[in-house]
Amino acid sequence: MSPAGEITVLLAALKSGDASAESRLIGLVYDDLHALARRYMRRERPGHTLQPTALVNETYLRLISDRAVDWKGRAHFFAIAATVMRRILVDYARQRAAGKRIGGRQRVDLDAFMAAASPRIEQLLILDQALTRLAEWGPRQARLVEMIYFGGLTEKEAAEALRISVRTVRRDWSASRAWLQNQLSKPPA
Amino acid sequence: MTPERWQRVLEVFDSARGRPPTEAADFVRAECGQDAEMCSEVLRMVAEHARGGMLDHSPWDDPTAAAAAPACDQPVFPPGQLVSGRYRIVRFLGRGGMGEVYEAEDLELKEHVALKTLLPAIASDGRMIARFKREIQLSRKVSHPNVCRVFDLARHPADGPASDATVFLTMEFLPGETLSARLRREGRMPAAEALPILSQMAEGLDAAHRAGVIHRDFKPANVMLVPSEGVTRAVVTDFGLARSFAPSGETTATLTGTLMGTLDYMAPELLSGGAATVASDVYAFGTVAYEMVTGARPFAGGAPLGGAYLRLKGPAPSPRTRAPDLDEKWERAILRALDPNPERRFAKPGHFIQALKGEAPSVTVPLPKVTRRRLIAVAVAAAVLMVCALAWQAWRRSIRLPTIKTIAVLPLRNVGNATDSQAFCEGLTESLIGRLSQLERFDDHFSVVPTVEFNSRTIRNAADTRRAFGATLAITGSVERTAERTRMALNLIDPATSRQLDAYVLVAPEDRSTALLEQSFDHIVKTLRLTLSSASRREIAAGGTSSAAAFQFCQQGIGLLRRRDGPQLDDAITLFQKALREDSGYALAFAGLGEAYATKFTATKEPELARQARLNGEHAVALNDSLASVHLALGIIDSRTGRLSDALNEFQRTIKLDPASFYSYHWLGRTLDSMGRTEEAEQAYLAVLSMRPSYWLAHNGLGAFYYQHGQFDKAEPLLRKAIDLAPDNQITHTNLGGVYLAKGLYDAAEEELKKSVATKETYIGDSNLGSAYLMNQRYEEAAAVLEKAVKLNPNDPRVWRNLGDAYRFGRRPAEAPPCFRKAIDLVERQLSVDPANTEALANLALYWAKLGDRSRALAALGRALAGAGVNANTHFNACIVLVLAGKTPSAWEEVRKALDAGFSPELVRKEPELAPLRKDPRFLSLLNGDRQVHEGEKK
Repeated sequence: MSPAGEITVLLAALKSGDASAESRLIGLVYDDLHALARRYMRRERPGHTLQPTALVNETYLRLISDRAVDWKGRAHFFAIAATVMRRILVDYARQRAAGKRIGGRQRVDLDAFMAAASPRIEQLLILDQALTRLAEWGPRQARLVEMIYFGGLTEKEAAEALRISVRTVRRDWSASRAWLQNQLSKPPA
Repeated sequence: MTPERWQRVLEVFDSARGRPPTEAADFVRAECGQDAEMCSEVLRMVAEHARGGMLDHSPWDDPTAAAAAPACDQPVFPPGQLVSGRYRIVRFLGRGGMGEVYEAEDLELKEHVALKTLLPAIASDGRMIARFKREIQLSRKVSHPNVCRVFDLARHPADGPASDATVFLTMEFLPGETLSARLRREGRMPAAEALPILSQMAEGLDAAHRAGVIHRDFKPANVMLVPSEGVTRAVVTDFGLARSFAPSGETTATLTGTLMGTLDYMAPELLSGGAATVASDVYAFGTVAYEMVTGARPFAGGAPLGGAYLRLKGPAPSPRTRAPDLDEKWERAILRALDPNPERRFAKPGHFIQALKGEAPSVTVPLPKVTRRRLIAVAVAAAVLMVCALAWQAWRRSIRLPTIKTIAVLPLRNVGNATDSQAFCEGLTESLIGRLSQLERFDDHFSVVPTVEFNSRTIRNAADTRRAFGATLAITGSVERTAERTRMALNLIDPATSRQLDAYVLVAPEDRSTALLEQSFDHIVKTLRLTLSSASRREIAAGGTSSAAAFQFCQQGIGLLRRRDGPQLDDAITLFQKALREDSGYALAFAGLGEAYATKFTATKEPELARQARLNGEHAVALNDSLASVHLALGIIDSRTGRLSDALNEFQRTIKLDPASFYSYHWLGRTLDSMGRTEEAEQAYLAVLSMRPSYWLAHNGLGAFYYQHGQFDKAEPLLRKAIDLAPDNQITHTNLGGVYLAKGLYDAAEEELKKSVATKETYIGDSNLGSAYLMNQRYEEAAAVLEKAVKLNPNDPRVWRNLGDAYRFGRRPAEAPPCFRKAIDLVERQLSVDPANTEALANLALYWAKLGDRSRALAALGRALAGAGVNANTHFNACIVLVLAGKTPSAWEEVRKALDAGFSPELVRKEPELAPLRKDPRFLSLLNGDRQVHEGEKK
């Protein structure tokens, strides 16, 4: 089956409660989103930031030409895309970290006058691990973090995707954010 | 934590976060009671809630665009503190990846120094410190006004235990700002302003390189601009420090994050694990120059790591795309410094400056003949890593070239044993021809014979190319591949005399075989004295990949895809997929993959393939929008999958990008024809013929077009000519056989089709031969050959239909219905992708009719006749359907229309299904009457 057709089917399966559909969906979406992300990175002018939602939207339109996918299917797709975006970033971070160990190509930023605000590789990996742990006892909150932080969804969009109220989203997000931030500020074990 | 506990944490936190801080703490303590662990967890969360952090910024933000993050922690040393008993802190300057930076006063030497602390993780790693010290000793050997002096490494407190000490470095204090800060503040600078800064930086780097010190981390943040007496002094800082931080052992984990700086200036070979060299410093220098004059880095991306990734993938875009007014000398120099191949860059930064000033001799400058050749040899020697441009006698002789250069490239011979080398050779030949063909639009007297189309059995040597195509020049060559290297030998031959005009040998290590195409192409261009602007050269080279493996796989794939004796699609697909595993951003490989799927779709009508084809094709265009061949591939994909108007757009786009692309015209013709725009289609095919009068496909295309439109007398000479040009090509024989079938010359048809099948047994050949037998009412022979055809390709509904007919009219009528049912299944699959395809709908109608389902047959027929592109075949099919459905009066109308549209009267006469009409005397008069009209048309 074509990726598009398969995605539609898998979304339907997901909706009817087939959890295994999710990991297959992630695999299908990964390549497309990854390529697209790279294209954006190249096209965007310097100083601009990548719009994760624009990226996800485009992937959605490319992969799901089937209008039969309803809004619930769409919400699922966005949730999955966020997972994929997390994975893209974390994979990249892991590769970089591994490359460093092997190649010994350490980088020093000695620019005394500027500190980059982007998350450092290490922090990203710690966050990823913490998020995985959070998912063990708070799967909804972990999923929400993926959507908002990695997927760039607004609170409202996330609420729609998770089918919970915006107020709940806000509560979950505040707590998860604070908990994760606390994990990040702990000294590495 | 358990879900229940987490739920409780959420509740307590939620109630606490709305309260004033003091109250919140009490509230949490009260809520958690004896549970001290939960209490401290929630309290820490409340504290985190109040401050900003990583999760407040999108991880996709460009770090250079984001505002500097406010440092939360206080500097280690307050102003006035005495450090290590010798330095008094003046002020805190900032924080870098390595630690903090201060301005301090050296109390012993009474001068100001910069003091940089090292992170505890670095300071506590003994081996790292030792390496750091060696680097410092090395860089202290460099004494140059444009290099920042490094003084010492010390500890504070000087006499305390090593484990508690802060390690720091002292260096020359440079009052001013970094180049990075200047660029951030003022943006790009005029070349005149950039030049003195670049010159000084180059001098500093050159001095260090002379002393054996590689910078390893050159970037604007490591250049201080110090105003002094009205001029700006540029000082390069932090030489060689980067390498010191190769961590040893367990400190790795904590260091990777903190030391992570920008990768934006790092040469591609460093990103892929290579060692730092002068060449990698030259690359960084080129990147800095690029940024200074354009205000942006060549691979600036929207995400922190995007640029580094892109750099691995391909050459830098020209700085003139961002700064159009930039001097061409600058453009050339910058692009040379940024060459992905380290050996093609300047030997040292100073040469870059000389090039900017126009002082260095450039290899692109035309020089007197002999010198120029030597220079080329030198350039090549520098370029292809292990090089032997062998200067044979021909080098010294002046090559006499014809005015009209019609060049034929014979298939490169594979002289190695490697099993995959044959396809590599074919791909390389094809690519070389493709590139050379693109030069046609720059030189009116230059044309390329698309050699890949002629078969080695008929064109054996250069002399044959003159006889067959009127070639005035021929290129022969061989490729020998071993595990370590690829050796390519090229000869330029005069086909009239078979004399060798030039010979050229290239050797590239296996992982650099990409360079072979570039180098051989460059060499041919130079030898033929074709003039080529740098812009067109870049255009031709675009769409490449920096991965040698990806390149090879892709070339092999193209070789298999475009084979005229039948593409080997599955192998081609595998190769393109391999190419994409090596380089997932390789537009040409996506295009090739898409085209392969589309071609396979045409053969199998598998809807999934159509979708795959389109996804890959669109992706290729998304990756590189400016390549003619990518648009061509997408057009072919669209055309093959029924998106005809999209296909037209793509072909028009291709022709705009590459007006010499006759292949686009060929496909344009095919597509217009499918849309029923017959006259325009004919024009397109005629254009191909005028562009390529000695190309078999040009004759075959127009011939097949006339054949399709019932103009058999026009088709025949064209197809005969196509056979002359490509005698061993089964397609032309098949088509000519089809013409003879249509003209009722069944014996001639049988002869051509047997030749076709003998050249290469294809299902189309077998199928048409089966048709010839059917027409001669030799049903058993027809069934035998058609059974072979369905074995070769079980996915063509027409073949099943013919087999059904062979059974039905022969001795096995009971076996016919499953064949028609199979045909219906297949054509419906095709329609699921391309629902408005007139031909498919007409066929569907026919198959239902043959199966005896009138209502379905008539429904499908209605849809077919309502669509665009109704032609003689459609009307003829309609006629049969109507006869089978018992609607004879309407059938008369359709048969008349078919004959009016040029359908062969012979086929009408012979069609067994039309028996009910044949009894009518009108039948004969209709055939005779229409024949006259048909012949009248010809005049």
